[in-house]
Amino acid sequence: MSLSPSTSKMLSLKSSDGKVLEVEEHVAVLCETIKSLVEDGCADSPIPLANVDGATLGNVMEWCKKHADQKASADDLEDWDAEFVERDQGELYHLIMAANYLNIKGLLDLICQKVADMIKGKHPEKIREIFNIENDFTPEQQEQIRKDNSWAFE
Amino acid sequence: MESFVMTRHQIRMCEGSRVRKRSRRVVKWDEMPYDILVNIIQRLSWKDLALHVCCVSHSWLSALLDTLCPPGNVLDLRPIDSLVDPYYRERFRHYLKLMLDCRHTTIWTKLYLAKTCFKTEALTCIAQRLPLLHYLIAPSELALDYPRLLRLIPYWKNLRGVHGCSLLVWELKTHCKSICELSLYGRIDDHTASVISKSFPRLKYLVIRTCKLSVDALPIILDGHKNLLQLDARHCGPINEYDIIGRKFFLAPREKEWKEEVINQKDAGIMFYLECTRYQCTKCSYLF
Repeated sequence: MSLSPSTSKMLSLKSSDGKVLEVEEHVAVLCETIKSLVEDGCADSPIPLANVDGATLGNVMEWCKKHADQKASADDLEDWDAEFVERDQGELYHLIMAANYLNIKGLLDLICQKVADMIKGKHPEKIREIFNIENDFTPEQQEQIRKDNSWAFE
Repeated sequence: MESFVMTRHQIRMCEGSRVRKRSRRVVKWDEMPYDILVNIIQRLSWKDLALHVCCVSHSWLSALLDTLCPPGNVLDLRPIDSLVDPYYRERFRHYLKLMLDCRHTTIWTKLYLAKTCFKTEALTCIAQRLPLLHYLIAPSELALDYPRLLRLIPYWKNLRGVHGCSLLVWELKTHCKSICELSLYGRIDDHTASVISKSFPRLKYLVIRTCKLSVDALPIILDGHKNLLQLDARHCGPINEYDIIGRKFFLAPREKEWKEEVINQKDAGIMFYLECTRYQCTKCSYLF
């Protein structure tokens, strides 16, 4: 098969800031977006990825490379993934956006789970602080959301 | 106010780093695609959903509501049944109320009621907000609660299909002229059977599986509905316990008649399910 590691050809990916990354085809096709380009025969010239910057693209391809490696065991991958997601929220944000754009379900789920774990047990103020979110509720709205309502009794 | 200051502080920190690393702009998570926010929030437990996530921002609250009730034409109240903690159930109802207040409720055409009780006021509010309801599904655990359901039926004049207690037909007959699917449980005596027989001219699918029937109930229904496409009367039992002994009495007088009718109907490609496997059937073997 043309996608096996030994015969895999190289693809050029061009990030939004103009960096070009050479990646083996069997690694890059973990991105569904790239896979469909390859299948349509549109992957000859450097593939422009307008929504992904160079640093993030490097991280994404690092993940793809690890997960394309068929020798890696499930336990091994799990440990590796756990280490991979130990990043600040800015990097996680760019990874999520990239995984979404490149359509890599495994990576998207991994980061979403990591973010969910970061949210767990935190107060709204803390969540807003970590993720840099503006509180767009008025105090009255806030009160209305928090308060117990008249439907409460069983 | 502390949180506001902290947020500003954080922004300043990020701006500081932006000067050093120009490629990274300040990321604001409330600007991220909504689907991803929903993906993240649906991974959280009720502890977080009930207390914290709702208060973060408008987009987070909206994503939370979408997690509880995915966009579409179905309003499903059943998730509340899996919540054991009364406080979480309370919060579920609260979110439901918020949802009814802020969503275009007329797109909901299918309603699944939950086993868990809602106050009459809440049920009425739900009924009022869903004027275009086509399908109502009420679990059999609500059978004893049917008087309250009866009061809701007048709000739903467009109902086409109902799964619920057999006694609902008494209210459906007056208000709902478009019924074409009925799936009933409970008792069907001669009076109820004649209501079913006479009141729903568009009825095509009738499921009365496991109902308790009077001796004449099925013939009465069939007399009124010559054009049924499907009838499922499997696992039906007699309405009176003493009829168990007279199972023959229950089935025999009309059995031949039905069978002939069933054979005729089968030629027309109509699906009739009248009998289970009798002695082998775990639900009905006690009758034989």
